Amino acid sequence: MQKLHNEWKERQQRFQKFWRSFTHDRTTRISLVIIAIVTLLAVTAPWLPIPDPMAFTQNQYSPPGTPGHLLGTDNFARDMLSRVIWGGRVGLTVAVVSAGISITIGILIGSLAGFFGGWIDDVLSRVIDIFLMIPAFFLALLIVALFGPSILLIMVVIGVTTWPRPARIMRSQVLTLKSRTYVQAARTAGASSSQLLAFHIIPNGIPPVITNATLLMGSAIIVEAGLSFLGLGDPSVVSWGRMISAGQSHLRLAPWMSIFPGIAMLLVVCAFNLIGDGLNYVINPHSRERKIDPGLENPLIKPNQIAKPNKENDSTQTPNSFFEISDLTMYYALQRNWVRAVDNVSLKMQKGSSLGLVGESGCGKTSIGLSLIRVLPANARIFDGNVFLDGKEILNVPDREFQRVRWNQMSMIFQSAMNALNPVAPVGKQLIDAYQLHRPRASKKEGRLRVEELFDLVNIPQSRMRSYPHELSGGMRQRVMIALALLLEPDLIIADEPTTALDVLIQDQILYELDLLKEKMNLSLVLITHDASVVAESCDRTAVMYAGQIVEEGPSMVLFEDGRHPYTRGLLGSLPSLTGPKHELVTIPGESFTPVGEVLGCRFTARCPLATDLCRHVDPPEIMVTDDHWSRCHYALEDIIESAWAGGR
Amino acid sequence: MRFSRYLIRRILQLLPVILVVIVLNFVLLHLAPGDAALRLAGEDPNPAVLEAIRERYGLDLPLHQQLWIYLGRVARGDLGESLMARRSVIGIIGDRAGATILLAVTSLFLGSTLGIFLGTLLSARAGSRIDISSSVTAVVGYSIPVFWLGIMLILFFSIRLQWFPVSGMFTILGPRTGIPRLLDVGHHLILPVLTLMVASTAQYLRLARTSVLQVLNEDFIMTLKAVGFSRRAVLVKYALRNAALPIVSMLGLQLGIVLTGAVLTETVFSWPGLGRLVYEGIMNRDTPVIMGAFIIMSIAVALASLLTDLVYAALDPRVKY
Amino acid sequence: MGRWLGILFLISVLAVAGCGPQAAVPPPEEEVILTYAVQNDAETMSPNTHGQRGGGYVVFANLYSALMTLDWGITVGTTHYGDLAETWDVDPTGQLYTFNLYQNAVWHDGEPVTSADVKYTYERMIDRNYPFSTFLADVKEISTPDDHTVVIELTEPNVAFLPMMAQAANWYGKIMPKHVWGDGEWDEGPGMENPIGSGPFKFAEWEKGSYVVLEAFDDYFRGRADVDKVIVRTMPEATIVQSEFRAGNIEWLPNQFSPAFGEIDEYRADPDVEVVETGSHYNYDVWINVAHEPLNDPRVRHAIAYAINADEINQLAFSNVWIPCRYAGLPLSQFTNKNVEFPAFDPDRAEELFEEAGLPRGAGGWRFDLELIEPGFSTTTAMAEILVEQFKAVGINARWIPTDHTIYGEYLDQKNYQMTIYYTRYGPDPDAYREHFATGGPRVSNNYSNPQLDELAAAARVTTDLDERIRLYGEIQEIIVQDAPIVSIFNEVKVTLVETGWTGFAEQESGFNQSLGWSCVYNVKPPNR
Ligand code: SF4
Repeated sequence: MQKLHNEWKERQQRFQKFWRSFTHDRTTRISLVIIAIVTLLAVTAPWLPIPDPMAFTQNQYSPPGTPGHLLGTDNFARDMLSRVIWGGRVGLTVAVVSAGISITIGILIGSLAGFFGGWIDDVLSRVIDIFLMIPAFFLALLIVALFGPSILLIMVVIGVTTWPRPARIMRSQVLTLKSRTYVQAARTAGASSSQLLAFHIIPNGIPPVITNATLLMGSAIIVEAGLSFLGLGDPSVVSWGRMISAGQSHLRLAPWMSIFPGIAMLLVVCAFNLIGDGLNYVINPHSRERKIDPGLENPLIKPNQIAKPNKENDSTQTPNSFFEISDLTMYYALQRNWVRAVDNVSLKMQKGSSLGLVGESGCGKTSIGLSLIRVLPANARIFDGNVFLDGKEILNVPDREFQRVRWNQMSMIFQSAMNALNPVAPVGKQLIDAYQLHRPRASKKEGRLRVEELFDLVNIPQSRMRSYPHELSGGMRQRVMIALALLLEPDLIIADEPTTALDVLIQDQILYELDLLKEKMNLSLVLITHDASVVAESCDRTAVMYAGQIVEEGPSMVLFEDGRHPYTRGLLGSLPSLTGPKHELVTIPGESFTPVGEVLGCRFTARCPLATDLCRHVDPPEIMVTDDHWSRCHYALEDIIESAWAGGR
Repeated sequence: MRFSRYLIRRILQLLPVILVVIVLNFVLLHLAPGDAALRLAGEDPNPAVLEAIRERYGLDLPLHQQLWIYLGRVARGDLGESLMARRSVIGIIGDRAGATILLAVTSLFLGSTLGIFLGTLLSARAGSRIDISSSVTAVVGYSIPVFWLGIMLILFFSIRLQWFPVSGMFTILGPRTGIPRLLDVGHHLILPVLTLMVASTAQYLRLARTSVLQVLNEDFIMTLKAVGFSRRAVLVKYALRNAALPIVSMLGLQLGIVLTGAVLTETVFSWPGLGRLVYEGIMNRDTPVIMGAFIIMSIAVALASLLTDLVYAALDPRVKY
Repeated sequence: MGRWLGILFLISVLAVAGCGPQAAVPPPEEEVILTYAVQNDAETMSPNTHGQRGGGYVVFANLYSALMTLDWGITVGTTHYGDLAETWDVDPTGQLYTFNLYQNAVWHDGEPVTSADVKYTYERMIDRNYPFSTFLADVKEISTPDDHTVVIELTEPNVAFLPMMAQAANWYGKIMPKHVWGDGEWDEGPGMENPIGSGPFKFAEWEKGSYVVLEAFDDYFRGRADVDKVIVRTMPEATIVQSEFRAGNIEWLPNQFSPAFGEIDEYRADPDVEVVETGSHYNYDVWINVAHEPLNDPRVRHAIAYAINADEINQLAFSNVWIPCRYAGLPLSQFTNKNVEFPAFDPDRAEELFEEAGLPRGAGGWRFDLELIEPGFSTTTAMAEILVEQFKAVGINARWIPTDHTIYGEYLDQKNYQMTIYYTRYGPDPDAYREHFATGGPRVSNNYSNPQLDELAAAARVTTDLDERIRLYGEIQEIIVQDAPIVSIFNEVKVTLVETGWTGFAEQESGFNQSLGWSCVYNVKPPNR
């Protein structure tokens, strides 16, 4: 009982969540309202205080606005308002029944084909393909012409001629769902094929079919109108299509005869299509663009903000390090709020050194990299900060100026190399293009030579230049990315998860090579990763990031051995220590924190075993542990830190 | 070698389509009420007249025999003879196909070009007011009934402004050859093409916009930006090419839609095309013409989808035959 | 492919650039061109082998000649007259017809038209059972005493022979050139695309799906036509045809393209347009299947007559242009018996009669179900839309079953409809009563049969005495009104629009009895001629 209740609750919540994101869009909301109104009018038409749509009144061709005839009358002196409303009844019926028939057949055939596979799939897929080739409208035309245009036949015919598309969608849905774990689990638990289909596969595969159905509803109304225009509408019902085509012959005398039903039809068809779009957005969230809501205020201007005010004379300060980030602040707009992705981050590095930036995913480490190389998503904004490279400020310079720094002095290696390369161009060409972009005078040949050189450097056979990314192994692709980063011999490389998704052996190999290259070329390296072991192996210094802030920074050895922040100890301590005894590998319990809007107190409070009231109310300051080691914890200098995870994590 | 085997296989796959089209039409045409013989016999015919007509046109044979005869002919590449026009169906379709191809290809070409262009422009301004209003306008564009749009365009541009001819494909007794003829046809072509391309422009606009946006969200775009390619270069040189994949794959589908629009557009503009021919054939129960046209149209759609797949394969190295 | 696209692109770019308009080369000034529209393209250029749909008849009428022909309208005095036949004669037995052909008639290739051509044509039609053979059913023998005389002998006297065949000549029955076709089939060979006729216009060009161009034939036996060129355009959509007419690109808008009746007043007020209203020998009636329960009860059929409000239909559908008609005949025909009329609109009486016939209102207030069909003309659909409502008002659960032309034909052929709106053609000869009402008549689609009527019709067919015929047909009409297998509603009025100044169209006074058929434009003259 309880379980059922929970399930129900969960369903309800899921639906609410869906509904919220579905109705987030204004056009979708308007469309829903239109359909709701039309449906309401259509359903209640017999009880509305309007004349019988078939009844002949006194005056033919009364213009709109005539008393008693808001939308005028037609050539038979029938009330247009009433006819438009009753036409909605037919229109919606056509839409729903046709689309219903279409998707019912489509779901049935599609799921049979997808679920059973083998020869059943072969046969059904062929049938689907064949029917996709037959021009549906002409088939509908033929059938309706042959058997006489009754509205019932028209609906059935529209349904029967449009099923292949939902069938195809359903088939591919079932194919993906079939292999999902919960389906497999149900199968192991002894569910029969029909149970699997009915309870597990079809309900989960249906959403895209429903999206297709809304589009079908719109087109069913249009097809009915098209048939009517060709003289194949059912004359015994009041449909918009027939009203429009009847109105064509009275255009000069009574344009409203075709205009009003035309508008009604246009509105409803548009509404169906827009609802389809809305559903599509919910199912494929990418297609909704990110942008900054213009009503969102600059968070730094608010009176009781947390961010520090801009420091004076920042850009005139000459840094003493080779690379320095100070007070970098970058927020994302998320609906009506700012997410503090990078909050007052400051870091320093010497030439030829390496810095590891570790943290769980979503902590903002990648955002730092993106801010540095200036590829921010549309909803991100840098509010504050300075970046100095080799004594020069590079964050607050115009793009044109930055272009000289980009790749020449500072380049980047991206995570997930599979997608970081253009899938439809040979890898060599991609590198040559980049070379020519920055060396516009260089000939193609020079570019090729340079790339060949780099391929040698990163141990890829030169012949691979003509390969496409999908033809290379993961390690090879990552080497291409490294080659790309080295293209113009930069001083600083920001490597964002360069080894994620590779198998351990290759990971090590790549890291090792990267290390060699770094030595050889006197590179500075910022290594962004969630994997502490990577940092441990290859970085001089480590910065630990949590919820947009650096919480601790210092020499890698020190941080791994004696981190002075509970988070660091949780994150790094979980590693097989370099020197000490092995700890168990357990992640820190709780979910990572997303700093939205104003944040009070330490951001780690919720997950910290040492949290106190102080932590909850007061933002911990940067506490210097030694000269080159600091931590953002009230208790950084206390012994208690060491016992942070003693109770087991 | 692999390619030609692929081609042959694809073309062989057409056979079942043709078979289904033929059988489907045969069954439908024979199940339905309405008899071509009655139509051919004219006003108040004597029974003898009817009988003679049935015999002459082979309409008195049992269904399976008619089907068998027809299949035999199709196998020899002969689509039979129109009951009404007493000419070969291939000839009749040939007379009309040119007009439809001109109309369909021009509007598909212009519609897709314009749609892709506008869609790409809009994707660069995603989320802006103009983007949202254009997207909604595009939905309106393909929600308008084609025939209604055609008539409105005629009323406005041809009757009111008198910029274009009201209907037809060329000026009768006008120029026959050369550039003047081309111009004449072009002048007649504008409104029908405009009518037909509104829907495909709208669809391509939306498709181009979403696919470009989708590509712009992909990781390699970030790489390109990071390397320093300008927005324009990223959009034009890279994103568009990758976005072309879904756009191309819509081409086959679009042909079917354009053919549908063609019958309505041809009716409105008195355009001597295939769509109209099918409609008249259906109204006349001219079985050979109906089947011939269905076969040709299905082949056209199939070829378009083949072409689509070939172009797709050329654009995307990941696709193998 | 690339080149093709290139060309297409070029065309569109050039066209969009707006260089189009000057493309039309204006015709030489003295040339008179007449343009009009048909809904469907002609199917072939060979008439006679089968019924056409639209375009063909209109072209054939100008390209070919028939032996005899007939124009529109029964407005007193319309009768059959000679086309190729200069004079004709019937012997006293009523079985022997002699036709004297025009001496100077020639084919478009210069050969003379002779009696052999007529004999060849008619015998071929009978032999192959071509549609025109229906009207030659009584022919016993055709002989040709000389080159310009044709004698047709009938198996029995038939007063309707000439008028019926003259009317049918509007569809088929065109005389074919023997020297061109010879033993060849009429639906094969070069004549299909390159027709040789003897009509006032000769074939010039056929752009399939678009138009047919005909040119005046210099050696036409009645003299060259005033119109130099005739263009028959294929235009499926009536609204667009009207637009072309208003734009001045079409001079003649025949009945099937005429605008909504409601707009006619507007056209009447337009000085550039002449609105021609032509009477017709067609009545538009309700046909009731007397084999169908409960319509087999004459009381029910009378009740239906009482339920029909012709004035309302006329007002709503025809803007009062049509002529309500309760006679079993044409208002203007001398054969019409004006002493008998179908019942006038009286819904109360209708309900009484239904009660009498044992058809009380049942569930939902309905007395019985009724399916109504019609042939799909704009006029009949308009009537159906209103009639259904009028029937509902007296408790008939009427439903309008849509059909197209072909399905409709099947209903008539199978005689299995319940009720239809259809025309009754009371001409060109009153023998039409036999066709429509005598048992087994070619146009009896409602299973009606009355032996008394059969006898009267048979008698009227063989007598040539006018008064006797009037008497016999008067009695027939009494029976029809009594039995009510049909209920008359309207006498049709054809509305034709003509560009002001043009004369000689079949619908106009000026074309009356000399236009050589419904679609021939031989007598058409441009303004100021
Ligand atoms: S400040 Fe408090 S909550 Fe934050 S890390 Fe330190 S002990 Fe934990």
